[in-house]
Amino acid sequence: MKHALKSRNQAVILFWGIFSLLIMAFIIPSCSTVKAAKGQKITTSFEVSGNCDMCKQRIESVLDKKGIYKAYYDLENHRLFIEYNSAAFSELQIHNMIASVGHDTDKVKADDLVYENLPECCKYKKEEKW
Amino acid sequence: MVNKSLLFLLLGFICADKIIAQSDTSKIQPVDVKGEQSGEVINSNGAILSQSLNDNEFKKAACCTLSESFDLSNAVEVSNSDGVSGIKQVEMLGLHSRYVLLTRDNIPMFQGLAVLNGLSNIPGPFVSDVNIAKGAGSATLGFDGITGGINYLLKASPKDPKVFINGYQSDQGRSEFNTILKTANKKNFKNFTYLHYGNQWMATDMNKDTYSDNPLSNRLYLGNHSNFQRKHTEGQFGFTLWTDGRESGKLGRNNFEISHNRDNFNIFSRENRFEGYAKLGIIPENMGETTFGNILNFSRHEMDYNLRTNRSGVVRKYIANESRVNYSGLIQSELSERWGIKAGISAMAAITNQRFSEARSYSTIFSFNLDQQFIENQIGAFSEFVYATETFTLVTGLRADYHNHFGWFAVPRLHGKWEINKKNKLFFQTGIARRNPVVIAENLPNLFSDRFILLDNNLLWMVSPNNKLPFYMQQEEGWNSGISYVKNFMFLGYPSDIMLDVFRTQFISQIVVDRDENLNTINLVRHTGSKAGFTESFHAEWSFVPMMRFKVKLAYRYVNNQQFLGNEFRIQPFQSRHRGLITLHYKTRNNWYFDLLSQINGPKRIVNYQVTNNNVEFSPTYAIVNLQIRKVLKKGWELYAGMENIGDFKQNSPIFEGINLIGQSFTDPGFGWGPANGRMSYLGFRWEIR
Repeated sequence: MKHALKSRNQAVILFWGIFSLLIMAFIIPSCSTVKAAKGQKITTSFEVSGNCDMCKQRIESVLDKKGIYKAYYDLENHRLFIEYNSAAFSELQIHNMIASVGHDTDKVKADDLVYENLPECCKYKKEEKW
Repeated sequence: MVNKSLLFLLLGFICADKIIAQSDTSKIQPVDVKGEQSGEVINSNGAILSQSLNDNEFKKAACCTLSESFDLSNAVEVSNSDGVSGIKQVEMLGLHSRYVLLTRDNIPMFQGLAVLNGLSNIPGPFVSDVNIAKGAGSATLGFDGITGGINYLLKASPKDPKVFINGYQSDQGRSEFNTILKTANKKNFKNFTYLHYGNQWMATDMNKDTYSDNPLSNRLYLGNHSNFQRKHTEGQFGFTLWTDGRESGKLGRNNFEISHNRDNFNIFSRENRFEGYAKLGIIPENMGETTFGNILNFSRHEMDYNLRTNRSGVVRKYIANESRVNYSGLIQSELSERWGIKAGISAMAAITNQRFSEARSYSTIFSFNLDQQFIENQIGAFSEFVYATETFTLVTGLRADYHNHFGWFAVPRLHGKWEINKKNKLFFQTGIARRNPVVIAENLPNLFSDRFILLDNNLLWMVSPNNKLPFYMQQEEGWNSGISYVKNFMFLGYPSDIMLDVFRTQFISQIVVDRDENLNTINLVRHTGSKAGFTESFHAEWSFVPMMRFKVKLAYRYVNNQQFLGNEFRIQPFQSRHRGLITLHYKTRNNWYFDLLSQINGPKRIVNYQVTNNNVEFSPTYAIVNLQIRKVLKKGWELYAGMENIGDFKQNSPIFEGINLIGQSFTDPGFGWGPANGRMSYLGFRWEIR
């Protein structure tokens, strides 16, 4: 019944190492936003049309760009929560980006042709009537 | 409308769930989500809280079978059942997987002989979803499942690719090959063929104990699944066939194979299984919301285990086969806006043939050769009422069964949900569950030793007049209750979930494996009344998104599993009370995926190995860290590589070798509490044609 004491210590240290790295992961993002002095960090939310998981994917991935820190689409309330650097994007640019993949925002409407090409489940205009 | 859809979700939990969902939301086409879906989802819509793991989650585990994939989950845990056989043991709420109701798309799958190895023979890459529900489940599914239910689905949806191929190779000599073919793809009829070949062709001995760390194994799996849809009917049927051969034990001369020498400790096994199933749902016209569901399944299971121990020369053989038929019919309907009902009948018939023999070279008086045929017939009826308002849901279920050996018994269940508000949900449940034990088969890993086997405190060869063994013991029975709480909130700009639950299982009748009483014996004993054990558990889980494409899950679980062992209540051996889990998932913009899993296991109690049994010894705390890197390429290609157990932690001596009371040499591999193999690297690919 000899135990592998040496390797035990290494592995446990590794576990707690990951744990403490994780704690640091909270601190680093808050530091880096301070460093980005060129622009301002803007946190806002606005309405975006969409009705399924696929829409959520599409909206969130088009906003996955440098200068956008956070983008989360709340499917239930049709609301986009976003955190971005004002030096990288203007608010209108963000609205345009979303509209370019077929989703209406409260400022910019999507092109009909793009909308027609969305998969059937993503036709949010139909959904509203139903 | 909200109320109605809630009711649908509840009703839809069972059996003909797809039909109901379809009639309700027929205007919505199946969702084809590209990119990444969340791997683990908490389902808090129904009255029973459950967690779903989908194939994105299984990709993180990479290898190889369903039971191994549970490494990532906090609700279910996997460990080696002993130091040599390589049989994986799955635990939920601190109880062994034989107390879990295992179903495939709500078809009962692994009962009887298959409880030992059923889950270990489902290739992970075939699985599309696994649903884990803690605590005794719905009465419509069966009287078993004291500790919970695991329901799995194989990939068989229209969104799946025409051809899927997966290959895997580890540096410890494990090769796996999986393929799924969409063999028919018509509008109303789909057919899928599954083929798996897995081979462990090299024996390794990383902890230098002269025994192989993993068994050499050879597994072939063939499956076929069809589903069809008509105007008023919907259904599925198919079959599965697998065969699994294993060799393990003392290494041979060249250290890469198992010794076939008669004087060495080795285990040879072969298991075959065939299962066929059919499921039919009918939605009659002009009958409102009433639907009928039918499930029929058949299985044939064959087992052949051979054990030879070294030096003392014990030879143990277990050969068994089982044929089993199950039917269940269900009707579900809506009584009013708030009330729903489900009712039905079920029937089961099984024939189990078992032969168990033992020979000891030093004495013939301990030898026995027993065989038995066990015929089971069972019928049952069940009903379940659902009451749902917008914030409150209550499900009461009751079933009564008659079994030809165990007589009449009834099983009540109660589930409830209180939706305090949209972000806070509280679930509670209580119920009795039972199970029919197959004592020898399900405890085989414990019988791979020199210990004398006792059945209910009597030596096995003495309780079996005329070589007919009372292989069956009375049913196990337990009362399970639990409360769960789910909270959703915004954290660092993203939604985050916290899940807490507390469960208690109190056995009324329990069969325990007692190895504490004596170093020389293993006692399979049934305890009732004040000697029946109990299990308490607490789980906490918090998942959040600290930044874009980065996911974190922190989890903790506590288990206190008390069994009557030796002459007192002790915690179950080889189970840690405390366990922590951290998973990190990061994806880059150009489709590189990084997954890190870290698991810390608290001390486990080691079975007493002293002649005097007052000694309580615990294993050290240890951690396992796994890392995987995955890249999604164009044209359906995907490559992955990873390393498991990066800390290279291993237990040096999971196999106990000593001398027993009568002066004979003694071997027991049942002292494994940690991994026997150390660091492992692997490579793999996936390729799909759309």
